[in-house]
Amino acid sequence: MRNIEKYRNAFIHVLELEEDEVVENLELAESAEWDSIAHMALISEIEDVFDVSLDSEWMTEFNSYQSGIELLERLGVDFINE
Amino acid sequence: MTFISIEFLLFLAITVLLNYIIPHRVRWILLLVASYVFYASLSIQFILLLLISTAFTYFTGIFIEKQETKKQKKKAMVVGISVLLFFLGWFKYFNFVNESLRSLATFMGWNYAIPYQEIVLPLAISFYTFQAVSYLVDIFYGKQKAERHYGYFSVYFAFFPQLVAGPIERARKLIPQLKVEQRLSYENLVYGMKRIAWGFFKKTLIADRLAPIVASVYDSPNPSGSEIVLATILFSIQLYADFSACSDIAIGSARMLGINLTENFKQPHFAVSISDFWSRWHITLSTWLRDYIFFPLCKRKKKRSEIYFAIVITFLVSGIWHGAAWTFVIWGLIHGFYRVFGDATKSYRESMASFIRLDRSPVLHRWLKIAITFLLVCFSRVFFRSDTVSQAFEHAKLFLSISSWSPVGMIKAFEIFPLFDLLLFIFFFIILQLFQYIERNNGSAWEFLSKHSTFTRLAFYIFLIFSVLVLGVTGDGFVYGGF
Amino acid sequence: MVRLFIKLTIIIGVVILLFMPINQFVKDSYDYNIDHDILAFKKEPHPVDIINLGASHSMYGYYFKPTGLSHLDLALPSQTIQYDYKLLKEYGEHLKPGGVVLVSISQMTFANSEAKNIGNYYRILDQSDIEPYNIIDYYTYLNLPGTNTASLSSAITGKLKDLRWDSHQPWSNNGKDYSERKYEKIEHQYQEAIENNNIEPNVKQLEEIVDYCSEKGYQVVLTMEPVHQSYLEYFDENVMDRLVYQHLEALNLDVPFLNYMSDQRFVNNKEYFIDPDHLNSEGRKKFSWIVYEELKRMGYLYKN
Repeated sequence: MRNIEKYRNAFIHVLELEEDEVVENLELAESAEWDSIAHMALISEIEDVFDVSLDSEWMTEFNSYQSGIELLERLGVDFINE
Repeated sequence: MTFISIEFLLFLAITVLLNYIIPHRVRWILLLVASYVFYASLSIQFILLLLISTAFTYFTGIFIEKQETKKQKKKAMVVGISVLLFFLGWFKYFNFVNESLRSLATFMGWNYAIPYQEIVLPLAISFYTFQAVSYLVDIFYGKQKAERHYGYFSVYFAFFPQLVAGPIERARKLIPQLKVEQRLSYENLVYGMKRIAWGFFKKTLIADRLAPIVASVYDSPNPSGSEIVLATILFSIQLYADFSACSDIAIGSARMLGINLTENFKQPHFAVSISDFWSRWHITLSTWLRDYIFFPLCKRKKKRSEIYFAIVITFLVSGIWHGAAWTFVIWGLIHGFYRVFGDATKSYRESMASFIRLDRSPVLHRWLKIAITFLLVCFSRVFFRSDTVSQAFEHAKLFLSISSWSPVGMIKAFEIFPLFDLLLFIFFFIILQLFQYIERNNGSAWEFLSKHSTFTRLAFYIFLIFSVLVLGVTGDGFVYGGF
Repeated sequence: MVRLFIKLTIIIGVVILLFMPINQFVKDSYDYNIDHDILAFKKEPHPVDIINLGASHSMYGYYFKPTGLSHLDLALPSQTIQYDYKLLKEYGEHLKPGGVVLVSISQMTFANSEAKNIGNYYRILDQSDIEPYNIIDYYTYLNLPGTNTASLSSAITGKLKDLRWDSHQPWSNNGKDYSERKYEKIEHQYQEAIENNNIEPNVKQLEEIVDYCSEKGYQVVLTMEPVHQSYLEYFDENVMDRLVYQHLEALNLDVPFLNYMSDQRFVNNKEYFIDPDHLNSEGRKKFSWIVYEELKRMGYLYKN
């Protein structure tokens, strides 16, 4: 599975969304499902899936689907080739 | 000068006028002087504390940044935050802690020697302390560069629109705006004035009109159950109108200067869950607590139960921030419990909803969730409003008993209003609901209004200003016509 | 920007136009002009035989014209004892030698501390006597009373006396609803007065008034006006003792105290009252004659 798919699945799984839902626009606290508690679960899942460690300072950076991608890219995750 | 006064409007007008006349590079001086004048007019004895806190935070920020290692940075940050919190703690919480310890000592039969100290709470200290803490933590994380320009930093620290009642702003949002030259813009002036007018409307025609009515029930020795229920619901409306009005006036005033502050309220009583509520009520405080208390507490925690514990602690901090009294602590814990319970039972409640086929009617389902959330919030407000813990429990018992909710009792309870006041309140409340309805369906009520003729718009503004002028209560309560 | 200026001008212009009749309406209203008697006296002062101080009980209590006495009514609704003193100092000089000052004592005399409507005093006292004084409040009250919601509200509810709940009508449940509400309000006020230590200063103020009168040679008499039975049910002996009598007794003043609170001639006679604790014009006339006769019998008003 490509990284971007793994990423997308993490959201779908943790936030309990439908398979075909649009996730690209999701934002922390703007979307009803993505509240603070879900955020912790999401971070946990992403740390497991991508084998990274998200420090507290990154927890607030990660406030949208898009910014999460940027964050992971900075931590070395390749979304383009993998 | 409070927001709701001729003095403030004149002060604002002069500040805005001067702001656009003088060149940009000296505007920070104007804003700083204006902010200090504003603070001094409300609380001159604590202006020194404000200045000291500003200087301390400024130098600590630079010091943190200059540290080489993460560990050193952390130490500096911790010391800085501790000092700021010490001031907050001393002024706000000394008596609370002291009196609580004294009660405990009395209960245990020990001797307690520390006397009650006459300590006055400095205005705005809760707000500017939290803002300062966010600044130092962000520097530690590397998200914020320590501001070197003392003038701009001081304006950020004491910016008069948001100094006294928020919104709590992050430095990286506010300082850059202060540094950019804001051009005189018709849209900004007009939008600002509209927000301010609407703030005045909510505060003087709804909040301050409800305040004595709510007080008459909560302060009375034996209120009836229905009176407590009604007064609590009215208190929720009063609190919303009051607080969101302050934010409106803050946002409007800043906008007239070209500065965008963060929205603080998004129709919170239409939230569909407690979690949703906190993303709509006092938004800047919620995000502050989330970013600086909840997330750090959750670092490295994977288990649900640990996260739940962090939630409860976060809401406990929220309760304590709101006031130095056990009623606020209980209020915080209630919300912590709501949040945890809500999350833990989420899937169960969803399956219940589909079991009784409620999910077939999304509109009904949604309004049911709104009603339940509102009632849960109202219940917590019994503790928020009551003066003592024992009274709070008495009131809560009344709130929860079925007989208090009888329609007959509820209708009779409306007699806590003089009839004329009730009619006025209902009228203005309907206007508020219309405005919010338009907002829900059209994004911005002001934009909706712009789509209509100039005549309609002018008529609405005239109505707003005239109502505030003639019927606006300015905090002095209400005198029933007669003796 | 010109657009903005024009719009603002239109808005402000229309608001002013709409506001003017409202302002006039309030200026003409009864409650706004509650001080009109005192104001008239101020314009044309003359020597008087008898002055009464106090709050609404006193204001609605006395009408001495039929007795031939020249009378000045210095009582106003919710008047505090501090303002009683200020008014006495201002107008007392018009009292004839041997004249009488009636100081009315009511349930709230010792609990009341915040002058509820100091607007009433702006025209009849010196600016320097007004406390707390706020220059903006002063000018807006005198010139733009339409902006004062309380005044506008009184003006409207004054005209629409029926715009009340049934249970808020003065004689609902034979006066018991009104009396109960008033009782709760005064109890609460008294509790607050205890917490804020307001009772001592008020008691002291009464003593000061009595001393001032004796210094000036005014004959001072303490009074308590009649009330209806329904009111007495809530303000019985015990309550009155706690709220009023204990403080009076502690002062041990050497002045007569004419207490008509439970006077049999009024207690069961609704027809003499507007509401359970205020006399109407019939009741006022009758009561004033009674007080007049009593004062004469006690040796006061001998000049008459």
